[in-house]
Amino acid sequence: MTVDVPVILTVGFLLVLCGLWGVLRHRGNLLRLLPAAQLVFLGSLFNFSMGSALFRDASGLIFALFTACLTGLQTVATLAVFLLYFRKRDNAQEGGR
Amino acid sequence: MYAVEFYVFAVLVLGAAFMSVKTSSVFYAVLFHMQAVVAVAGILAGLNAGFVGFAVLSMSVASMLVFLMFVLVVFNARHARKAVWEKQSKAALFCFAAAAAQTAYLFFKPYKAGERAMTDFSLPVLGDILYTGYGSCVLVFAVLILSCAVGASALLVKKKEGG
Repeated sequence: MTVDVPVILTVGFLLVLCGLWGVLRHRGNLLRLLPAAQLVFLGSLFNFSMGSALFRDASGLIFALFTACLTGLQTVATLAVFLLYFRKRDNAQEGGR
Repeated sequence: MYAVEFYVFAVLVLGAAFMSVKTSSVFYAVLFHMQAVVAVAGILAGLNAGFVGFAVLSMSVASMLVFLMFVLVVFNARHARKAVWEKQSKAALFCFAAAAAQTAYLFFKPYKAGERAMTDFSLPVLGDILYTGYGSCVLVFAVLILSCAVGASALLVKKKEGG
C-alpha cells in the first residue's frame, strides 16, 4: 500500500486552505492571525517535505528547514508589533489622563 | 513509510488545523496548532527525516509557546476565573499527553529490515547540501534571524525618562 501523489497534494492543499480560511475568518483579530498564518507555512513545509521524499531529493527538506526558520521569524516580528502597539496605547492612555 | 501511518498522521494534521481555526479561544487554537505540528513532525520522522522533523517541531512549538505566554500574560491571566484555568490546564495536559504518545510511537515503532538503511535524508547528506548548494541562503537566513533578535532586544530596552 503506497501513498499516492494526489493524496499528498490534497493534504497540503487542505492545510494551506485551512490557514487562508483562518486568516479570513479572524481578520479583525490580530492575535488569531498568527496561528492561522503559521498553518500556511506548515502546508508549504508539508509540500516541500513530501515532494522531497517523492523525488528522493533532499533539496525540498532544506527548504522545509528554511520555512521552519520563517515561522520563528514571523512569531518574533508579530510579537514585536504587539509590543509596539501596546506601548503606544499605554502612552496614549497615560497622556489622556 | 507505512501508508497507514501517513494517513493517520494526515488526518491528525487536518483535524487539528481545522479545529485550530474553528475554535474561538486563542489558548485552544495554539494547542491544536501544536498538535498539527507534532503530526507533521511524525510524517517527517516516518520519511526517515527525523532531524528536519525535530527542527520543525522545536522551532514551531517554541514560537507558539512564547506566543501563548505573551497572550496569557497580556490578556488572560488577570481576569481568568479558576474554573477556566482548571479546564485549560486539563486541555493542555491532554494535548501534551497526545504529543508524548505520538513521539513514543515513533521512537519505539518496529522497523522492517533495511528500512533504517535509507540514507537519502540523513544528517550528513543534509548538511553537505545545505552548506555547499545553499550557502548563500543560509547566510541570508542567518542575517534575518540575527536582525530579528537584535530588533526584539532593542524594542525591549526601555527608553530613559526624557531621552
